[in-house]
Amino acid sequence: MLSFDEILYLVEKPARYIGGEFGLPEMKEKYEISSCIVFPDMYEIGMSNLGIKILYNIINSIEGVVCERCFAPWTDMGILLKENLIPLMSLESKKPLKDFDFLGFSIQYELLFSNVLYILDLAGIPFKSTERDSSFPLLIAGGPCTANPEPFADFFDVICIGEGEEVIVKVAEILKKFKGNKNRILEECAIVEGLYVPSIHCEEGRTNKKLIHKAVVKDLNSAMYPSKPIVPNIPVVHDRPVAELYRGCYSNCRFCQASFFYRPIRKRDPEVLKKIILEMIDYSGTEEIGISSLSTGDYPCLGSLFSILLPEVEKRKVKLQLPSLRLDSFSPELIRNTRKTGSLTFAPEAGTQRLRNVINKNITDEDIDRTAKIAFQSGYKSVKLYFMLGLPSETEDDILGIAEIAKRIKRIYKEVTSKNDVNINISSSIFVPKPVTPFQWARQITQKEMIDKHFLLRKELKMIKGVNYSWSDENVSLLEGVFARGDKRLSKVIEEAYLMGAKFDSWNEHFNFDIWKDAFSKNNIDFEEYTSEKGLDDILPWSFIDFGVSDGYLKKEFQKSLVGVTTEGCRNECKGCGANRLGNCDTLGG
Amino acid sequence: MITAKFSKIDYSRFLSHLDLQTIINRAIKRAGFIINYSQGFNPHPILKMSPPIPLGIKSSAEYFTTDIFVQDKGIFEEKIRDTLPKGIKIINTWQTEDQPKIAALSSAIGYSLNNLNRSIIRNILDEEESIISAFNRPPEEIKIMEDSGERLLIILPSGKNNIRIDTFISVLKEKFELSLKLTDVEKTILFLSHSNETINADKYLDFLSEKSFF
Repeated sequence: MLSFDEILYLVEKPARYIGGEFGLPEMKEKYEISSCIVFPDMYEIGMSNLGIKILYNIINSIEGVVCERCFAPWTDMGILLKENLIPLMSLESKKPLKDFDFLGFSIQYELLFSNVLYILDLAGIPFKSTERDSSFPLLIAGGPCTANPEPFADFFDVICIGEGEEVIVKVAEILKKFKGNKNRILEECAIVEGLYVPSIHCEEGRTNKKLIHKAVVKDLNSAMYPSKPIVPNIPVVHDRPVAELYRGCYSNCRFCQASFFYRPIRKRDPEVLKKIILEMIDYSGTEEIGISSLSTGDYPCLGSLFSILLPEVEKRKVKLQLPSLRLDSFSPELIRNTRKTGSLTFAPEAGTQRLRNVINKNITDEDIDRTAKIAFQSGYKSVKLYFMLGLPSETEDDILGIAEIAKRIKRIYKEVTSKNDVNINISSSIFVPKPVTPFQWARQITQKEMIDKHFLLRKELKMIKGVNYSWSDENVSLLEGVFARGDKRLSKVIEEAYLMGAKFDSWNEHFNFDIWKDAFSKNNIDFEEYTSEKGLDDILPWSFIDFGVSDGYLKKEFQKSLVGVTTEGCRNECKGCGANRLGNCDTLGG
Repeated sequence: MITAKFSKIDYSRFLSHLDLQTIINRAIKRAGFIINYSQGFNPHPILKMSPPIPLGIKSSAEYFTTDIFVQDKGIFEEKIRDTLPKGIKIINTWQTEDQPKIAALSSAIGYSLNNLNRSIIRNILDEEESIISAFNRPPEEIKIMEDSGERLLIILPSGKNNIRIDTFISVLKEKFELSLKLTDVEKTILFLSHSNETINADKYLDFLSEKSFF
């Protein structure tokens, strides 16, 4: 038997497991409640996530409560922990997970479900809520996947739907009062807005009645923000502190779950952001700083934010990183002020204007051409374009349209530079109908269709020199679709698949579709039950949750999409989605 | 130029050489100092480190040199104390006019083997000759000495004739069936070859900083 310290010599990148980073808060020595935030993917991914930084900070600021972190150990470490009978531990105090009072899991992506069980297994915690008595920690889930929590609901005691900042404080207070009495804790949690307690809210038979209301933070300006973040000791995926500009999205792209899930729109004021950003730069000492939101170019105060920020940022020799810019928001000024990664990324999502109207991605061919021209004039040689295949109503012409865009961009590069050395990277993913979007009733294409579409696009793009094409795995896409709109029956499948060896499914080298196929057939469940088209009056697995956006609005948008009618963004006028019932929505119109 | 001697103890011994460079650069910036950047196509902050040691080996004799100007090195020590991650501690600093050539001059590294019992120490000392000959090197390149307490001091060549300490330990474990743990190894001295003499890096830095200011 080896000790934890000894197995650190045997694993890849032991620094993932050591903790001790700069920026850790002073850990309270005396506390009533201990908690651990668990991220079911590896350190480098988890430490790039903004949500857990926010919650870690908030929980540690609650009197009498400490919060630590735990990430999924990579498979080499997982094997060694098991072989040496070492239970999975937190980073900070190396305390076994099962000794905490509560564990908060962040569920970011459908393909992480098997890793939730991987972590529970390594921690020696029973998988199902019903199998755990008061001696085990309370398991809470949060994150974007709570838009449809049913596939994993059996594994958790409490699920936080929506934003956790304010809710988690209430949970901590409940735990302080009723520690050791799981039933009472669950009863108390069940009446907190935003908390779904499967054992209590899962009465026989669901209706469209809204039992749970999504939690939202009312005012971002006064919300606590991790402007003194932990600085990882090893490079992580996003190796920079990030400031969040606003929550929600002013655009109404019909496929986008985040846009509808994070409404109402709430923004931070430029002055508040300036303070956060400068504090982050000075505190972290990192080379770059990021600003983030669903569509940074739409932030109404971008101009004034830049004018107060850029001189200060330049003085500190720090680079500003801007992700997720919508194509139509590009201005020459914006391009000049951002870090040149050598490649400019944009996402037209569909190849023709017709299909872009269907999905309400309100970008025109002229927008694409203009942006490419500006980018090439400012020195970019490489562009990355993102598309989706299998969108509702898609035809062959829409796929060929992607190749047309590539050809046009190539021509524009030649006109601007008189050269032919442009690099165009096109990547496509398969459209997944997501809950809380107007497309939640739409069908996902079959694997046969996926293969045919990939073949067609590959053939077309092969003929254009300078274009590289990458596409998403058909098996992964299918599973994403199944889990996105899955129901409670899937928890058995997830458990079955984990026991057969599924873990780190979001990693190519670990994803094994055969396991999942087996797990589904053993439970007599057809993929198609989940990927097929739904009726507008069907009761969907997430129908019991009120996300703010009304079902009526989503239906109206779905019907408009069928006839290719677009809906403007929310910046000029409120479109009446209903999310402002949950809090003030920052549209100029409403 | 400021050169600092630092330790990496506890879990920080698992931080790689490359990761430490980033960590130290950031720590200096956090402390509020402005590092001079190199000239050229891709300017980067000037930071020189002592030669890398294998991951997982504790050390109380690491060095970095950075191109910053400070009035008083005491202020540097005080400020950077709070900006480093857990386990990285500054032991001493020197201010010099010229850039010390620690990496280029380094010739040998002294490692302490801790937590040994008497019989293992005896065992190793008895086998000294055959241990050294197992490496096919001139005998003067490797030294094994008894140190105060339950410890041994092992001196191995660094630079182009480098012998890795983890290799050395595994040879001792396999060929001589000694129970040794990497957790008990600590790098304690860096030796430099300066004007045909082998000296402790600390002495070299003392000399260089006196030359600069007196």
